[in-house]
Amino acid sequence: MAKKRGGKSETAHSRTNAPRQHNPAEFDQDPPDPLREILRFLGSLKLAVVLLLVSMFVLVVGTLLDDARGLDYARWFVYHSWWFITLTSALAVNVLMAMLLRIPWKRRHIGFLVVHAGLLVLMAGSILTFIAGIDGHVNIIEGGPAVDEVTVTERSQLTAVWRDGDETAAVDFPFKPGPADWPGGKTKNLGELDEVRVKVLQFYRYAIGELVWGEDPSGRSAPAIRIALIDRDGKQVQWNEDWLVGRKGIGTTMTFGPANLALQEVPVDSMLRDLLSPPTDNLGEKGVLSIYYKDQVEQISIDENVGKTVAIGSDGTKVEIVQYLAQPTMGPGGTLTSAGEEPKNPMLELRVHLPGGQQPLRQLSLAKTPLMDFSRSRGIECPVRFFYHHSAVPVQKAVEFFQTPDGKLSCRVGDGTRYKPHGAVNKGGLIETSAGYSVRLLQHVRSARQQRTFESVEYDPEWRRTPEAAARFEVSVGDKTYEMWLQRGGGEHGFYMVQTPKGKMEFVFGYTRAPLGFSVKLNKFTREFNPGGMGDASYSSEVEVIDESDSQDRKISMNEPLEHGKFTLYQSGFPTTADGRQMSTLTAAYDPGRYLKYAASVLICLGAFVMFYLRGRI
Amino acid sequence: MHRSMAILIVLFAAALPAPVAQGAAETFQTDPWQYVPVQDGGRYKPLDTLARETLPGIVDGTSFAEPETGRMLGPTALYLALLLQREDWGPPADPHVSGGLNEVAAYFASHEPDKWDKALLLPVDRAEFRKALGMPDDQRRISPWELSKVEIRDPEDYEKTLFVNWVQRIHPDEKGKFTKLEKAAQELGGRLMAYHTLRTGREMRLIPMRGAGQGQQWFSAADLARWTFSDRMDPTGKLQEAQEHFRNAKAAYIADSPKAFNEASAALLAILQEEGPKLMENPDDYPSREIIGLEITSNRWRLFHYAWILTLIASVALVLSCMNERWKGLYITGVVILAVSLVVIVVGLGIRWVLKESPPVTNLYESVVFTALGTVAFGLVFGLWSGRRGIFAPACVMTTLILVLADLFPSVLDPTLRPLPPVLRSNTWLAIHVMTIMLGYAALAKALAIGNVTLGFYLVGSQQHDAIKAQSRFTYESLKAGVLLLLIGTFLGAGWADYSWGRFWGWDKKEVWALITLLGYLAILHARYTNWLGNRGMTAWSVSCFSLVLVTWYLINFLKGGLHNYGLSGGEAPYYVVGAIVLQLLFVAAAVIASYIRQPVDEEGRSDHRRSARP
Repeated sequence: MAKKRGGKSETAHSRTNAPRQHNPAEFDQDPPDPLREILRFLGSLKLAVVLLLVSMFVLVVGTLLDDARGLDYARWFVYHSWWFITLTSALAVNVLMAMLLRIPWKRRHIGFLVVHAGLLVLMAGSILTFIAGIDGHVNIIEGGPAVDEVTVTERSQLTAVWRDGDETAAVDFPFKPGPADWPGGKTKNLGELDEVRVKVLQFYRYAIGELVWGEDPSGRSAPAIRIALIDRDGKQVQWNEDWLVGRKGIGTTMTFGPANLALQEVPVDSMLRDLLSPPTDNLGEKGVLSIYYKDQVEQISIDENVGKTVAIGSDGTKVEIVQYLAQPTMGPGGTLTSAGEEPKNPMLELRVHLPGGQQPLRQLSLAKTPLMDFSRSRGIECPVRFFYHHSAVPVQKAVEFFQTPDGKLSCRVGDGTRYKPHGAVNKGGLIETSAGYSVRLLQHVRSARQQRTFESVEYDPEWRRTPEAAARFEVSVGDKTYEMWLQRGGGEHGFYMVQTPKGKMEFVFGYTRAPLGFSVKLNKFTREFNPGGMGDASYSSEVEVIDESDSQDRKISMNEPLEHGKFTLYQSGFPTTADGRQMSTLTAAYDPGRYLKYAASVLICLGAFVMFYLRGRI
Repeated sequence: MHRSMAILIVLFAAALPAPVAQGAAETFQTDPWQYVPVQDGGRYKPLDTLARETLPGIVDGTSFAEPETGRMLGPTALYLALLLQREDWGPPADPHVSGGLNEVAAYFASHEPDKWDKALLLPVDRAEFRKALGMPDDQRRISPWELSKVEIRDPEDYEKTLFVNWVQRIHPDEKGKFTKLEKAAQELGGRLMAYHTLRTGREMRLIPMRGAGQGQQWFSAADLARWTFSDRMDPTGKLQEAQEHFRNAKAAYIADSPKAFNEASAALLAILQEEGPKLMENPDDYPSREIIGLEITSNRWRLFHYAWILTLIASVALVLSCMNERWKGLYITGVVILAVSLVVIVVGLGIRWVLKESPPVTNLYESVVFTALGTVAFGLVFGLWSGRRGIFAPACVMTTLILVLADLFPSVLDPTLRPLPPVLRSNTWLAIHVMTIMLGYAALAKALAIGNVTLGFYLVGSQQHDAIKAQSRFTYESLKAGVLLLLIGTFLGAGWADYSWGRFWGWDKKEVWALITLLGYLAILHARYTNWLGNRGMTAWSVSCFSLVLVTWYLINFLKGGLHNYGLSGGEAPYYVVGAIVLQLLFVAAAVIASYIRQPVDEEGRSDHRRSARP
């Protein structure tokens, strides 16, 4: 006998609040088959309970992650992760099957169906938002230009900008770096656009940047050293730690607390001896000249040799001491003359006669700046170097560092009367002075170039200002490759300009942008305070919304957003720019799933109410 | 003869008024001062409220005995006594001493202490602290004057330094923590500072500046005593008049002449009332007499305090009535008192609504009180529906518990009326969202209460199956109500978030925990429909799931960061809550285990506690 589905035999149950038991016999026109069993399981209450419990557990984990590493992290690894979506889908399947298994639907099923249909609508709305929604912000400056783009923080991008004729060209390389530092070695290729190829080499989620001096691979930059000042008791004076950066050819001096410091490059290794142990006796009136040629050093007393020519080495090279000038000055016709007898700036005019009868090379040597390098004249490098010692040049009260061509650093300390050679200095070496302080060498870079580096810091939920992310990019333009660290979102470490085969290019690392479809301009930002000025009562932005055709004046405040086009703009924060101008931050959201979610809310609440209280009365 | 008589009479008459005046008992009328509106803490309030809020931070109470007469002074009287008695309100003579406790020390160094300075006002609770300050064993309070010159023996290096210097040098250790002694010292230093600020008249801001907008500070009593108002600031001359009256009142107070004081006070208060609105940029901003009066009444009535006394009495009555079916009178009395307490809470919340101009659910304290309202309401509804005392009683006990918590821990649940942060200033969404959620929590609290009773029955192996059945039914009803309300409330919250911030759901911790709570209770409701949960299981899980409510409601605010973190620091309170949760879960476990041991499964393969109990 065919069992009647529905009909009177079932109404007896519907008057109570008791949930219906699924009588397996009800479905049996045929014997139970595996497919039916699976479907029954998929739509079962037991599965529902299990899924609910698993979801609870997963969500707890999510909040713990949020607390430990921030909401971005929790979203990436839990709430927006593929397995969470799978879990939610399983719930959706369970709900759907539960609804379908109760076909044919009866009046008493209404509450149940409405609630669970609402749940499905909610999930549909969420998926729609997840896929097509835009959640970003707009920063507008009071009195500043109109903004027509939304910054979407979901995705980052590297932008390259350059001038292409009259216009500005730009290409974007978007990518999602994720909420955590990339493990060592992970890189990501972002592809090629317009002959620009970008690869991400490293990513730090929270990075603090600083400018440091690093090794210049070309080896052509001046050296740099980092020193610290140590007081009498051997303790480092806290804030006195700094970089002393040399300059090519001239050298650098710096006053560092009580200390005078200098850093110079020495052109010839053998000159070091003259620096560390300069001749002090027998300087005579006009001093002593050291001459370096190949490996040899000669010291000539000037008193006896003005106007004379001296042979250097064994290949016929000669040095002629042309003039001694106590106070050199430019005379008529470009000649050098001395303005007086007193040795204010003793200088020697020299001529180097090279073997082979070439035109002699004119050279100068100054006693006060003995390392000043005039070795290159008329494009020819003079093989002979000079060091001029003169008694009129006082002993500096300074700690002077010298870097020889072999890259080693040496040092001498002058106390005003004599120099004390310190010899070679290594990293960590301590140079004592008689003035009560010491100088310690912390770092020595042979050929220094200023570089930006970033340090990754750990997430701290109590940060007032969260440090932004930073990434190291390898960019190739044409056949040239450049490496750069950039901080996301601009700021002082956010830009990099470099000359490329395509012209001058600027690189910026930031977030992706989406067009608003209209422009917004901030006319006025107002803030109202509580009585007595304690705390904010309200804040609002008076904006002008500009479309193609017209513009309107609108006001956006907390709890009073502005809807225009497909976006809704909400008053968020009100920071000030670096140069002190008032800015208003508006959240901009496009939520295509919004109405589905509202509908779902109504369905779910209504359905629950019916299920709980109107069963059997409908 | 006539002349000497006349002289005698005159002398006699002159001698008379003094004793006659005292005999006529004209006392200092401080009550009218309660109504003076002052500006403090971001809003306008009566002096009465200011006194009640400030004095606990000094004397740890709102009243104190006058040092010379021993007469107890209420909040306003005490405030005025401390304020007006002080002769010198000036800034320190030495301009290098800028504020802080140094100013206090400088004051005492150059002034004679008066009776209040020497009174034992400031409480020192910790014994080790009292010892460190060198106080005698039986003395629990220290006078401000004494405190300004006492030396404290630093427990770490045993050096003695001036307390006022030592306390300013306290700094936290590497973990950012202070020792208990340091915390006590900071608190005491704070009390001294508050004392000084009150007495120098800087705290009481009673006159608006001409054309004052909302953000501008009013003139303080100290300003009133010292400033000279220019014609531009005071074209009508009324401010100067007010100043005159104020100075007279102060002088009269010090000179101990009540009559002069009362006259000057009356004149001052009249001018304030008349001129106050005129001075404001928008006269309507000046607090009206009605509102001030309402707040004073509310302060005096202490409605939420009496509410729990009422519910306590009702609880006792109802619990007793459960023990004997024939004690009907007790039962009815309990229900009636419970109903009265409902009215009291509603009135109290209503008054707060008017005073705040915003629904009374915007801070933790109010949400707790509102939940108490819910539990009373649900208790009455379910109680009447079931007709059972066993349903009224747990609700009543729960309400008492909640109200007691709200009343006795002002440092955690702060009843002070404060201005709202902008994000909370949307009346409709806010009110409905929070109220719905709170009512939901109330329903779930009811389930908690009834559930605990049922668990108690299980624990002792009671054979009252009817009672258990009925209780289970109402636990279930409470769950349904709670879940429905939480569903509605959560969606309202999402709607509000969408409206205010543009996102329906952001996976903020509070949102996620609200969802976790909802899922927990939903799991119970779903499991009830399968063979997995009978009455015992449902009861056990309903009680346990309330922990989730506590996390969402209270504990989550203490995790750092997130949109819902309104910057609370509850000290040890969260640990107590966690402790309570642990105890509750242990009780659940004990009851379930005890019940299982007694009767795991009956002959039909089902435990007696299971499905048969469902209606």
